[in-house]
Amino acid sequence: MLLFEMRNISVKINNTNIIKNLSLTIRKGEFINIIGPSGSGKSTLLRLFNRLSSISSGEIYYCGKNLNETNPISLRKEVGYVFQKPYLFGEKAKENLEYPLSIHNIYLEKDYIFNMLRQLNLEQDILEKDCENLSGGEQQRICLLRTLMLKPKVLLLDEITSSLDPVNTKIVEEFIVNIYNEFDVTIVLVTHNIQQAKRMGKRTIFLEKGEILEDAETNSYFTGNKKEQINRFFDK
Amino acid sequence: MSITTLLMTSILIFVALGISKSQKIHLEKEMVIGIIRAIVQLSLIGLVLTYIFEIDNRIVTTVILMLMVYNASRVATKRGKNKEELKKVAFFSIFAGTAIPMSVLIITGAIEYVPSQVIPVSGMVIGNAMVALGLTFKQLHDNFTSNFYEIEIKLALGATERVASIHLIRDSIRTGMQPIVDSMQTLGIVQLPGMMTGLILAGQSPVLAIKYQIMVTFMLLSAVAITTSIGAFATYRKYFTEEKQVKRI
Repeated sequence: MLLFEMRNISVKINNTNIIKNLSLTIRKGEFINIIGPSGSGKSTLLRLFNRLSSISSGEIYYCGKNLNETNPISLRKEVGYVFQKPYLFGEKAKENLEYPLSIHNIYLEKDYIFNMLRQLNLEQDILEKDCENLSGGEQQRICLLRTLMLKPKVLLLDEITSSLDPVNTKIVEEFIVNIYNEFDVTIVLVTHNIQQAKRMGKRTIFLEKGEILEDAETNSYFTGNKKEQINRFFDK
Repeated sequence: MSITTLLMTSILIFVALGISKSQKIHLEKEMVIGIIRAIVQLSLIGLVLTYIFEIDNRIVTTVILMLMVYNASRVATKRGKNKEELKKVAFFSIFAGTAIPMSVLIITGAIEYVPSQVIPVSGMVIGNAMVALGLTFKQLHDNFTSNFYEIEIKLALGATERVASIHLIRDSIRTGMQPIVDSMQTLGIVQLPGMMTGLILAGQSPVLAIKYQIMVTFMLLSAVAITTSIGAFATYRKYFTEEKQVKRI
């Protein structure tokens, strides 16, 4: 089933073309990596999926419906977004998990939350801790869990491990893979790290200067003949 | 007070000028201009008010009040961005914040709709509403600028614009109302307000002056609450796009 379809989309910010005439389809159940150098438009592209940013031209369809005709609030409930920089609001960590539930009037079994915490290598008592006393790794894991409270159909992950140490990165990566295997969720992961892309999504899109240079199975990036630009990125 | 007495009190000006000069504060020029402006403006408004009080016309009184609200709305928005857009909100907020408490005072018989009563009392209301609204606008802007990321995260979780920013709106209203709430708590202990002092100096009994001051306190509190609430709730949407994205202003 076709989940997202982007047709010739462009994004222009302050007279700069961030995304140029890009077309892309995402099927339900896919796990996609988006890689590319800084400023290639990865995050901007990701933000378009749940309307945190807008296109300047072209069309985006979600489940066959033009994205402009969808209600951003119900769309964002289904299409969850985790930001690069961990940020918790409120005093206690638990307020962050309660927030999405309260604004959508959702009741969630405690077991679901405890199970998630366990998978993220977090103790239950972290919920009662002050946000400011949590480490960066703990904060980012709570941020991830906060988005998962809504059981989104699509999970957009914007370089979520870029500020984490290798141990925390491994925990988060394993958790995401588990979520993907366990739940009926489509994942789009933006990453700078080609090795991470290899461990995560099955399909990888390489973006440079707002254009797709390559869209192929992740394994083929390590075995096939790649374009010069991509090799340069890999060398970094 | 005779003119001679008034002139004699002007010696106090030289005290301020002397301090500025000796301490090299370099405010002498501004002080002199300020003093001249105060004398000219107050003399002119004295003449205008004398004329308006004499003709005692409701339409003229209403026009004067509207002009006061208009001027206050310009001042309340002078430090904000998107001034033109804010001016309309400011005008409506201050108008509502003035009209509602003034109507209550008139309906309850506390004052009459005559220029000699309505203009000075409205002046107090409008002045306080103006200061409170200016603070609210500034705080709202600061809050949206410094909490941009948090608002975006909340929007990404499916929050409406109002839900994502309600704590910032409330904080802005609180900031706008804080001076009047603080001054209420020190009334009679630290300060004797202008109206009460004026009545006592004019020979009225302190009991009557206190009654009026209590009425003024009620009036100012409601005026500031109405003005800041309308101002903040009518303004926060300008920080969002139609697609429910937060924008930097």
